[in-house]
Order: sequence, then C-alpha cells, then structure tokens
Amino acid sequence: MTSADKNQPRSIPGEEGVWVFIIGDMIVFALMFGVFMYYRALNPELFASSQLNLRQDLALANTVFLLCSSWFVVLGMDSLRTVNLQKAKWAYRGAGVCGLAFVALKYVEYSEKFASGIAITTNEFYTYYFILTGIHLLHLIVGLAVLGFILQVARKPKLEDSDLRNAESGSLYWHMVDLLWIVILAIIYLV
Amino acid sequence: MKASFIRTCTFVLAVLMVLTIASGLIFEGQLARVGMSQDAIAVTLLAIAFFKVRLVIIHFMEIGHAVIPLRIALEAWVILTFAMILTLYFSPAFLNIS
Repeated sequence: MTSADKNQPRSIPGEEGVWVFIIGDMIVFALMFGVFMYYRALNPELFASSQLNLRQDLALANTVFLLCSSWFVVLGMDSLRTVNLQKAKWAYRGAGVCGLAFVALKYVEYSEKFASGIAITTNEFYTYYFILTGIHLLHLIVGLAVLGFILQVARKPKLEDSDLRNAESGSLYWHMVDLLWIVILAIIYLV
Repeated sequence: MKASFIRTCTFVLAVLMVLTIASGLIFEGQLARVGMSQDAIAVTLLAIAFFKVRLVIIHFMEIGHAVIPLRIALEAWVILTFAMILTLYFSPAFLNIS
C-alpha cells in the first residue's frame, strides 16, 4: 500500500464502511449549516451584530492548528505505509498536539463568552453558535481519541493490512473534522 | 512517488495557510475590499472556504485517486453545500428582509 501513486488503480481509502459514517456525518453537518443560514436569513441584523462579539483571531488560529494537524496526519499515514514507525509516531503526536491546542483555544473562547454573560440561550445566533461549534468540538475530542488509537497501532512490531486500513479510516475521520471547521470558520465567524 | 506525495501535500498546506490568512485579512478589511460590496466579500470568503475544503478532500483524504463514485459523492457534497449556503445567504433579498 503506497500513498497516492497515480499509476496505481483507483481504490477506496480506509475501510469501505467508514465512508457511510463520514459522508453521513458530513450530510448532517451540511443540514446544520443550512439551519444556521436559514435563521440568519430571517434575522440578518441580529446575526451580524452578534458576530461582532466573536473572536475571529482565535478562530483563524484554530484553523491554522487544524490544517497543520491534518498535514501531520498525512505525514503519519504515509510513514505507516512505508513502515517508518518512529516518524509515524511523531507525526501523529504532532497532530494530537495541534488538536489539543484547538481545544485550549476553544476553552478560552467559550470562557470569555460565559464571563461576559453570553450563553446558549442569549439569542438565536448564540444558540446556533454554541450548538455548531460545540458539536464540532465533540467530534474533535473523539478525533483525539482516534489519533491515540492510531498511535497504539504504530507501536505494533508488525503492521497487518487491517492495521493500515484502520489507521487510514481514523485519519480520514480527522480530515473530516478539519474540513467541517473550514466551513464553520466561514459561515459563523467571517461572512 | 511517496516523496512527491508528501511534497504535494506540503504545497497544499502552504496554499491552505495562505488562503486562511487572506480570508482573515479580507474580513479585517486589509485586503481586496476596496470597491467590493458586502455581498461580493461574502461570496469570495465562501468560495475560498469551499476551495479549501476541496483541497483537503482531494489531497489529504486522497480522494483524487479514489474510485469515481466516491469522488463524485464528495464533490457533490462540496457543490451542493456551497450552493445551499449561497442561496440562503442571498435569500433575505428574495424575502425582502432588510
């Protein structure tokens, strides 16, 4: 198994069944994006004024962390395939550190909101803000556990094909968490 | 091939970083906002976002080399979600909401 060799026949990355979960999750998030945009369309002034209180700087920093984490995951997966296990472990640790940095900044962001009296029931914008970013955060925390699982795989003395497929599936989940945040950054924080 | 794959993904990361910084600068009004309407800025930021999403899907998720039905499904998600968000963004104009 090699990484993205364009001369190889096309295949399905990871376990086939994981795509049912990933695409299903992406559809659910797309529907949540639609609900957010619908209520924004009904209350454009409320949403615009509430958005002014958000920390775009933290959101952009979190985007940088997640993009770097995804790159680490790519490096890690490629290293697993080429049985460079030391490099794979460091790469997945790097991804995990970036993920933890995201969680830390989210803690700062939420703490500031709560300290200034803003909560999920403050208004419609903040209801969807906390729901969307909160559900994404839960997905990311699950993703950190998945990265931990992949690290355990990288510690095995010998990797089977099933180990690589499982690691690939976990890596794909992490990339999904990353790409969903890219959309959240745009629709909640910037637009 | 392995080295070129990592090089490609590193280049993709650089592009993603530049686009992220550009989005921040556009939002702050420090880049490419002169003469642009609020709607044009919004469309630009959304287009950048979905272009970034596609880069992650094609390169990081390696869908560029995946079986065609899977690629179609993910490309469709990108296009349909982008179209839905754009439509809802402009819907106040259709609903005459100010």
